[in-house]
Amino acid sequence: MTGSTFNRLANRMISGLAVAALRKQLTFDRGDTALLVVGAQRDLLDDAAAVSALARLISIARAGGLKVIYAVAAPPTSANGIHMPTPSQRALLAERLLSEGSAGAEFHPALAPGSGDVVLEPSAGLSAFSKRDLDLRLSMLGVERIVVAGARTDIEIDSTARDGVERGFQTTVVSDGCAGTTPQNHRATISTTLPRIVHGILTVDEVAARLTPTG
Amino acid sequence: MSSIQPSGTALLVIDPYNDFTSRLGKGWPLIREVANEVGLIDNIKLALGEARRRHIPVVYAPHSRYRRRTLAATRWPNPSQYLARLTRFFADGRRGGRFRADLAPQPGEFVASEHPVSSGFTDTNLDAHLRSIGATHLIMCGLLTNTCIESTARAAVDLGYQVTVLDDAVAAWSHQDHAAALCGSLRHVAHEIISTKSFVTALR
Repeated sequence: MTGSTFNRLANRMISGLAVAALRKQLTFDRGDTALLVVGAQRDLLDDAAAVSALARLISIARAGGLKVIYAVAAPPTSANGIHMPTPSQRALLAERLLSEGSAGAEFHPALAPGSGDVVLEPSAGLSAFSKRDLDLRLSMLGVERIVVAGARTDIEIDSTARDGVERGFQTTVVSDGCAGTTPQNHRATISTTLPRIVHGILTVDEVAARLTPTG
Repeated sequence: MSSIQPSGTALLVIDPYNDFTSRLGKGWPLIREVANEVGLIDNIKLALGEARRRHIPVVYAPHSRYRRRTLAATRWPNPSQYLARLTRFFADGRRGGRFRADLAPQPGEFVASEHPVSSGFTDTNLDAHLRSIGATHLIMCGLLTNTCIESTARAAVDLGYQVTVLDDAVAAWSHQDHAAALCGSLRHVAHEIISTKSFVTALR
């Protein structure tokens, strides 16, 4: 199932060509870029390394003057509009994760929004764009590039990043600022799936290096 | 066991262009590896035949074809769009931009407007059409597993559809791409992943 050498090499070359070409365009300016923090809640994000990388990313973004937008995950109940839950949504329901008012639904203490940040209405969809709120905010703010991080890489981050691309935003996913349902699923999404979809996959340090200096 | 009610169900066929599916297609040298292993062409034909026999609506969601003047339309082409431009993939009016003859729509079947990125729902009339025919359950096949299929499946879920993917009637550039979706993320975000044979059996 690993494929022929021809297929592997050709794919690596072709995909590498596109990734390298698009990577050159990744610069982040306070005037046109927003950091989108997805699902930074205790029930979804408890990987210590990802939490600390994301906390660092958030403070770098604030210091650089980027707008920081929090997309909040709601439980996928029928009251929240989910009438046919997918396996990922059924798993959340079975473990009663993200229940309204529970500690698990709260922001991770290291990732709490600051006074200048935007906090969206909670959304139960796979994508943070499944509620119109995010579209409206981004267009009001004049955002053209989004940097996406948070949880979970293979579920909400993947859908949100895809929707960002579909809507015409230059979309970057921050590899070390995300955590998946499992480390393997995180890796598969970051190294195999998203390189075909998004404009860039960068680490926190690489995002920091590509911010337009303020001042 | 899968349960599929013919009423409310539609078969959604994504991008069965010659560039993806025929021997002389630009993408075939890479796609054939997964396609041949899963039996892509035969399985899409099987699904189409069975849907038509059972009067299940067949709906096509085509990718935008390459045209010179769309070059400047997208400010930020993503990797797939970048490569598609470079190689003039699905060229309008050329063989590669036509559906493979034995997977093409039959008279009366709905062909949605072209989707510019990966999801069949973005900037198209697909959602409006599916709602107009009362479709709530989408059976998906076509190409590519991890891009257009997965993007369309994810968007469909957020639009409230029930989504079933036929795992041997989809294919990708590589085994790795195909498996990352079918054995990984799609398993969590689609409602059901079944073989074409199970789809056919479930209808009988």
